[in-house]
Amino acid sequence: MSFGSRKRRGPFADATGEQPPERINLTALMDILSNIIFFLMASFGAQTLELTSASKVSLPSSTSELSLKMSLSVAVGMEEMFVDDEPIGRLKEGVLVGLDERRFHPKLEEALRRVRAQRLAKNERPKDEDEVVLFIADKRLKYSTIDRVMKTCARAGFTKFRFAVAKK
Amino acid sequence: MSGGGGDSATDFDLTALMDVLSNIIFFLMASFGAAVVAVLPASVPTISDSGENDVARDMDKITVTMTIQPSGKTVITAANADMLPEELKPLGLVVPPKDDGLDTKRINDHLWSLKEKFRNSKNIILVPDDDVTYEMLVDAMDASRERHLVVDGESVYPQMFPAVVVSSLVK
Repeated sequence: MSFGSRKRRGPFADATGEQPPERINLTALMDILSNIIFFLMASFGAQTLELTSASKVSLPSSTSELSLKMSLSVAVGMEEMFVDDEPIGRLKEGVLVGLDERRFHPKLEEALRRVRAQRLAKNERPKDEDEVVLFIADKRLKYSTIDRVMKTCARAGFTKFRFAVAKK
Repeated sequence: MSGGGGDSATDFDLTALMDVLSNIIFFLMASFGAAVVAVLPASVPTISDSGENDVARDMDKITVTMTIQPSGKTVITAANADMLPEELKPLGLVVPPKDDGLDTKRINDHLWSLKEKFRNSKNIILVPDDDVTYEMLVDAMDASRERHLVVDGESVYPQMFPAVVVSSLVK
């Protein structure tokens, strides 16, 4: 009695009795992966603050859970200040240079007024969001610097702020 | 005319694409965790045309002012236009620094006691000294914004003083 030599024929076996290699259908998995990628990329894009790398800002950490909403951004690092990616002024070891006699920052004020004027020129109905500044500042900055920047923003018509913080 | 093609559907080998997509997912998930940013709302004082000031008037409402010094020492005071100074004085507190920073727990405890007495209060004015760091200011905002309570075994975070005005001393 012999058991070894005869090949077993399965339902998909070809004429020679060889089983074709098993194929896994990856299409459904591909769909899921693609969806996850689109979701992650969309969320990632909203969360990424390119300015933080441009101005080398180290954000303070906070327990706040309020999600980030993009608006006009003012980023203040230890050496440079930006308004929506545009370099606007310099700092020396965290201290603003180029303040006027009333201790406002004229270049910052001019840039903010320009943004405000552009929005008004579009004849759009002013929204609450238009008066909010996303404030991205380095955690090592002293309040004297923060105060100057915030007061200059307020002078240009932006009295509300959202402080960007890293979630704890 | 026959097209010449067979009946079998064209097979794509998706394995390489799967590898690439999996790598992208791992990269995005790792970056996503590191880049989570939140915000803290705040405002600066403005001159009002109406002639009204920010000091609370109702008896169930106070406006809290917290002065912050670079050492971490904080001075908390309460204001209400309809209350007498001797009624307001016991609501104040001087909190000494802790570990070269703010004693956030004690600040939070005191502000919660004020919130329990004056339920409709939500405004706090932060007055940091010029040398106070931005990080310390954010810590003060955290300590005044909400309270952590455990109710029926679940954590809840009732709001205390979410309306923050950042101001400075007139020199």
